[in-house]
Parts: sequence; structure tokens; C-alpha cells
Amino acid sequence: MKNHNFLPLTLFALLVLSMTISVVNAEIIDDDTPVPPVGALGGPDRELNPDELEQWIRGRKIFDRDWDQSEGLGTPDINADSCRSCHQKPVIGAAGGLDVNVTRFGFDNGGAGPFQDLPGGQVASKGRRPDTPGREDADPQADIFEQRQTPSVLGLGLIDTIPDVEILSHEDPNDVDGDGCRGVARIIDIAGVPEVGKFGWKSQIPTLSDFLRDASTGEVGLTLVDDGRGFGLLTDSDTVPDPEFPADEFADMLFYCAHLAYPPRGGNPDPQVAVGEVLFDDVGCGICHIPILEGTGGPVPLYSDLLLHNIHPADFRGVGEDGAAVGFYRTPPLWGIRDTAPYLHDGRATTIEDAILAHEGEASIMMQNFYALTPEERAALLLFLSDL
Amino acid sequence: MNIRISVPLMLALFLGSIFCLSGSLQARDFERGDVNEDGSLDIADAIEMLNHMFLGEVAYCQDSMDVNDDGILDISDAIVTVSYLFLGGDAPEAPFGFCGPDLTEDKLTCESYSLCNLGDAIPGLDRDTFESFVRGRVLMSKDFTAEEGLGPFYNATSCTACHSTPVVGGSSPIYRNFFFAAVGAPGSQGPIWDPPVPSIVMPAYALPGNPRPAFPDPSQVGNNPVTIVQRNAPPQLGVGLFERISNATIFANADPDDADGDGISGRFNTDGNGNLGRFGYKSQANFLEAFLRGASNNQMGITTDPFLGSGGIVSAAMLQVSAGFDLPTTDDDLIDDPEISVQDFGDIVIFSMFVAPPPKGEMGADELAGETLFHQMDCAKCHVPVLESDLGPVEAYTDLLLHDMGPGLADGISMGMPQFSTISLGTTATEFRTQPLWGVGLHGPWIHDGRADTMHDAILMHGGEAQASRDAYEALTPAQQQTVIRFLEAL
Repeated sequence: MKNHNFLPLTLFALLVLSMTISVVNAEIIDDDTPVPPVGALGGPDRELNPDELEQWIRGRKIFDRDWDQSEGLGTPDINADSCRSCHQKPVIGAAGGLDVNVTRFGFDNGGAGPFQDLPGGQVASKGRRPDTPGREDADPQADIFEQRQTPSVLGLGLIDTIPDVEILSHEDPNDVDGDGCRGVARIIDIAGVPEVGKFGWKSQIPTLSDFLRDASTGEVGLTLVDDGRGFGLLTDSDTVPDPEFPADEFADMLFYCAHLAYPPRGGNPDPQVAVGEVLFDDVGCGICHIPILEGTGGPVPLYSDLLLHNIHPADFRGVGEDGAAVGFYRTPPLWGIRDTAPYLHDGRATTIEDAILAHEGEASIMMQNFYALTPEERAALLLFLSDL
Repeated sequence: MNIRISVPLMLALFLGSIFCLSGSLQARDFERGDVNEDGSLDIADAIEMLNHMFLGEVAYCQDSMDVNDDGILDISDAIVTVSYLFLGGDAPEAPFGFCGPDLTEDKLTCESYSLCNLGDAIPGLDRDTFESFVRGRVLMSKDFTAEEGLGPFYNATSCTACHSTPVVGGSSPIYRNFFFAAVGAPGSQGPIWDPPVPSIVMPAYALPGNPRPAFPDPSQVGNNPVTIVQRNAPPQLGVGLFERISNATIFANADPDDADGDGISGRFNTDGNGNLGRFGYKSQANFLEAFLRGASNNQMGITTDPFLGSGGIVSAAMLQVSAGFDLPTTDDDLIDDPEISVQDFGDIVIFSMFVAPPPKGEMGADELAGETLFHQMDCAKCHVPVLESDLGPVEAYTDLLLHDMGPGLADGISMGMPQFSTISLGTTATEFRTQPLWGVGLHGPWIHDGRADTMHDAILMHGGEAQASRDAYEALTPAQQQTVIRFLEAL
């Protein structure tokens, strides 16, 4: 079945189908899976030498691997049995849909506050090893539940290179510049040393390695070799000997994640994209969604300040943590958002426009500006965002 | 049509799609000459070729009819076939006698060829049904949003969330397991959705911003015991054929009181309307449409209307496991019911009805040795290799009956509606439907809740009526055990 029209036809069919085909629930990477080009979606961030490429490929396989029960899957609780379970839209390493959300809970006295964690834990996992009866349920006292979306891993290696001082330089806790937007860094105590949180919806994790350790235990239920930083469990209550995640394999996976390219721009040639980009700045989106932060290896075009902001209405109910009160979330990077619906921390916004319209609180002035735009201007702004 | 696709986007689509689609868009593998996909070339294939060329009969793999590989379907293809069969003429061009792609350039197509491609349609569908099948396969992967009716409670946002290993219509790893809560003492547990004490699929999620649902509702449960079990998504490939097996054929293997004294019973279950069960781990559902409508509502919160119109008010007690067959499903979100049209859901049902069973693998010496052992160990007493249907033999390796699997696998769940049958008492807590083995190697983990990492583990977990067979397997040498596994992998 070959003819000279095959390639364009196939691409058109792929275009149509890519809108509907969305989920692959088991391993998708094998020895023949091509490595996407450098800089492409799901590809390496730079040219890798042969040894590095091998390690990257090994890491990708581990990221994709469905862990068996005999290998230590589960604490016994799980939200996933591989990293790819959640990080796969639109490519391995990226984001996930509503049905792989993580459920966090607590007690806020019916909204009157204050938020407090409960003795029954913080997370009600979705699944559990079948050899353990029942399921992990929320503490019966819980009255506030917050879902957390799967954040994309693409480009996180580059975010890891942003120095703490660069993030701190954008803080404005008292709104000294009067733009309504504050911005505070999340400070995490790592063995007595303060570090700035860069990862997680509430910026609760300082480094990419910490992030992967936290998820390996929290979502897949794997135990790890101690690195002295406090992320991930060293032991769990299944019967598989610890550590379940061999250190060399974890190192391979970390290398892969650290060298996943950030999501490239869509490249829509429509001149309205540039108009939208100017409006993005005019409206004030770029105050928090800072287009570029400087990393040690060069600019990081992430569209975030990596600071905590409260963009929610006063009656918002959610999870509070030490250093990140109820309503405060890290400015999510916007690179790659065209492919990572739904939006906001819990995925309540189906479209980019829904997500914009959900901004309040510190973003109130920007929202007034947004509402003041003409329909054409809004369309241009959305076109720009859909190109990220 | 002028579609502008940027290079990075094109690349992204291309790569994304290789990862997501493997198999569904690449040129299909096929066997040249085997037009009716029965695994051999004979005169029937030549007749089908002629019917297609001259009587306009539909066929979905033109490549398989192009016997001489000249890129044209004409009488010469039939002549080559007949000449090869009866006159010692040249064999058809490759791929002949094995599955493979067409290596020469032509304008012929191959839209479906289930003998060589997982998840394709069974042969012989009319054009309308085939097109519905193809639409249904795409809709299986549709991600429902809240605006489209997802929720208010859900475990998945699409069918393929749980049915995509290794292709659309398959099964899933453990993390897609769902929990099922049976309320009441085993043996008298309430049927699903049947107030005041419903057993229930436990949703992992409410729509974002809402509390995690407390299912089953503690206020309804009262002092009744609750049994929580897990279920791994059952594979769909070939399941439509179970509807085509007559009750009499299934009854023929039943031996509810073990009258023949071989230690193996074989009881049947009935659905909420007293019909002989065929689907589900407890054989608790009879009717594919209703089973799918139940899953759609219980797992995604997507409501549906029955295809033939509502039969009026059906007592809630009839809502066993899945939707009542003639009752609309409804939910409490803000989206009008039904949340998917009869046309669209019909396409999904058609896909499930006509998706072909997995093609059999190569049966070499090892596999044949394993097959012999399979029979010697009496595995085939429950995993009956073939049941007859009106569409021909169904080689599913199941009797579709319930068997006691012993305390190790017992899940404490009874399902079924004994009040509708004088001869079936529903399942006991230790009984399960014999799991079909076709394609069993394609979709680990194994056992109803995915507790077995390997097929070897799964065999060793058999107990109860299967204890003797299990022990016989354990007593084999590792090399012999390996041949049994090889045989199973070839199914």
C-alpha cells in the first residue's frame, strides 16, 4: 500500500487522529522506538555523545517501565505503576489527563479554616497492590479535597539550572511596585539548609532529583537509596526488599529527565501570534508568567517566575502547607500548554480560555485588562498562548 | 483544502502518533490470497475474489486479493490461485503463508485484516457495519470533558484508558484497576445501584473542585458488611462472539452438581433479567450493549439511552451490574442525559461486537508440546478450546461457566440474580467465570485483580476445582512449564 500520496495523507490522518487518540496505558517504548530529534517534543535537549545517548535511552525505558509487584510496586498504595502512566500526553515525559490526578485531602472546618492535615494522611491514592485488601481512603474527617494534575517533565532539567537568587530577585511579597501581583518563593529546609522550591504545584520541591524521588515513592510506591535530602521513602510496608529502585537505574532515569528538551514553540506563522505576544505583555500576564528566567546554562523560556501567588477568590478552599498557604500555587510554566489540557492545579479548566477566566486575586488587574480587550485582541492572545 | 502545519507541529504529531497508534495507521500486514482470513488458501478464497470483482461484494483488504501482486484486481488473480491450487502453478507472491506488508507500490488498500493485525474487524462485515466499527474504534479513545458529561464521578475519561493494552479494545496494567464494593454478607450482597443497599463501582474521582465521593454511601450501608475488591479491565478483543454462542452450547458443558465426579462443576450465572451470563469476571452480564452502557456510566459518568428505546419503568433491582437493558442511565451532573448519542455509542458497541479475537501465533514444537501438557493436565476441562457459534467456531478456551477457584482467589463477592432463575443461585464468593485464554499473553497482569505478574504465577494461583491441574503444572520440569507458557502465548 504505497503511493506517492502516502506521506501527506498519513500526516493528515495523523492530524485528525491525534485529536482523538490520547491514551496508551502500558509500555510504549521498546528497543526500536526512535529517539526524537534534538529539541523536538520528547527528544533530548542537546546533542548527546554515544554514552550519554545510551544512558538517555535506558532512562526513557525506565521511565516507561510498568513495575511489577515482585519488583516493589506500591507502598502498597499506588497512583500509577510507571512514570509514563501519568506523564504521556502528548508524548512520554509530558503531562496527563483528569483520570490520573492525585487526590490530596485535609480539614478546613467547612471552609472556615484553618486548613490542617489529618492523622489519616494527606493523599488518598487511586490504587493499591491487589494483594492488600481494601483501598486507601481519605480520613473520615476530611472535608476538603484537592486534585493535582500531572505536570509535564519536559524541560525540567533546564528549570533545575535556575539559581535560587534568580527566583528570589522577582519576589515582591508586599507588592512594592503596586501592580497587584506579589510573588513569594517557597523556602524548603533541606537538612538545615534553606533552598528555593522550584517544582510541584505548591513549589514544594527544590530539585529535579527530589521531584523524581518524591514521585517514585508517592505515585509508584518504590523505595530509594538514601540521599540525605528527605524526598522519597527508604522503606515501605510491602514485602519486597528495599531499596526497590536500584540506584543506577534511578541515575539513568534522572539523566533522561534532566535532558528532555523543553517543549518547542508550535511555530504557527500567523502574524496574529506576534500581536498576541505583545498583548500578553500589555495585559500583564508576563509579570508572573515571566517569559525567560536565566539559568546557569543560558536562558530558560518557561513563562513562569516559579513563585507562589494566590490567584483565587477569597472564599477559595484548598490545601494549605507550611510556606504555601491555602490558595497559593506556583506560577505554572506555560511552555507546552497547547498540548497539556486540562489546566490549573486540579484540571478544572478544559480550555486555555477557561484557565484564563479562572484567574482572580493577585491577577485581578490583569483580568480587568483582559476583559477590556476587543474580541479580536483576545483571539490573538489565545492564538499566541496556543502556540506555546 | 489548504492545511498549514508547521514543521515542529508536524514532527510532534508524527512522533506522538507513532507512540500512540502503533499498528492502526501503518500499512497493514496481510497474507496474499487468504481473502477470507481463515489461515489457508483454498477455492473459497478464489470465489470471494470473484464475488468482489464481479458482484461487488465488499472486502476490506484488496492487497490480499492481488495474488499476482500486479497492483490490479482482475480475473488473473483468481486464475493464479486456481492454477496454484490444482495445476501446480506458481505460488502467490509474498507475503504468502505468513503475515507481512506489501512491498511493492500500488494503489490498492488494506483497511482491515484481522488475521494479521490485532484489533481489526472480523471478516465479512457489510460496509455500513464496517464504517461504524471504524468510527467506534476512534470513539473508544475519545477523552470526555466535564462539559461533555464526564462525571460527576469517574475512574476514567475514555474507554481506552482501561482498554488499550496492546491495542484499542485490550486490557490495562494494575494502575487502571478499579475498586468494587459489595454491600451485605457474601451470598446476599445487594446488586449494583439497587437502593437502599447498593453494591457499587467505587469512583476514584469527582470532578475537580468537588469532594472525593464516599461510595458506597455510609448512610446507606448502615451495619452491613462491605467487601472491597479490585478488578483489572477485561480485554474486549473477540468478546462479541460470546453473544453468538447459543445457550444450549454453554449448557452442554455445565455440570452444576459434578454428576460426572471429576471434581469440576461448571455452573452458570444469569444477569438481572434471568438471561444466561457471558460477560464479566462472574459471568454476570448477558448483553453486550447493556454491559458497555453500564461501564460507560460506572467508569466515566457518561449516560446513554438504550438503542431500542426505553421499555418503561424497570424495577431498580433489575439494574444488576450494568444498565438495565431497556433503561436509560442518568446522573447528577449539569449535562443533559444522554451524554453520548445513540449513534456514537452504537459505533462503540459495534466495535466491541465485531472486533476480532487475537490471531493465533505460530505453533512450533514447543507450543505443541505445551498444548499436549495443557490437555494432559485437564486445563481444557474448563478452558474448553472451542465453542460453536453462528459465526463459526469460537476458539476462546473458556466454557463461560463458573468454577470454584478456592480460598486463595476467593474475593467474597456474589453476583447474579437467583430470584430470576430456578437453577442458578448466582455466584458464590469463590467462583469465577473461566477466563478466556485467547490473546492471554498480550495483556498482563493476570487474574481478576491483576495480582499475578506472570502467567506462571497465575497458573500457580489456581485452586479449588483447578487444584489438581495446578499441582500437575507445578510438578512439571521448568522446561515443560515453559512449553505450556509458550503454548498460552501462542493463543
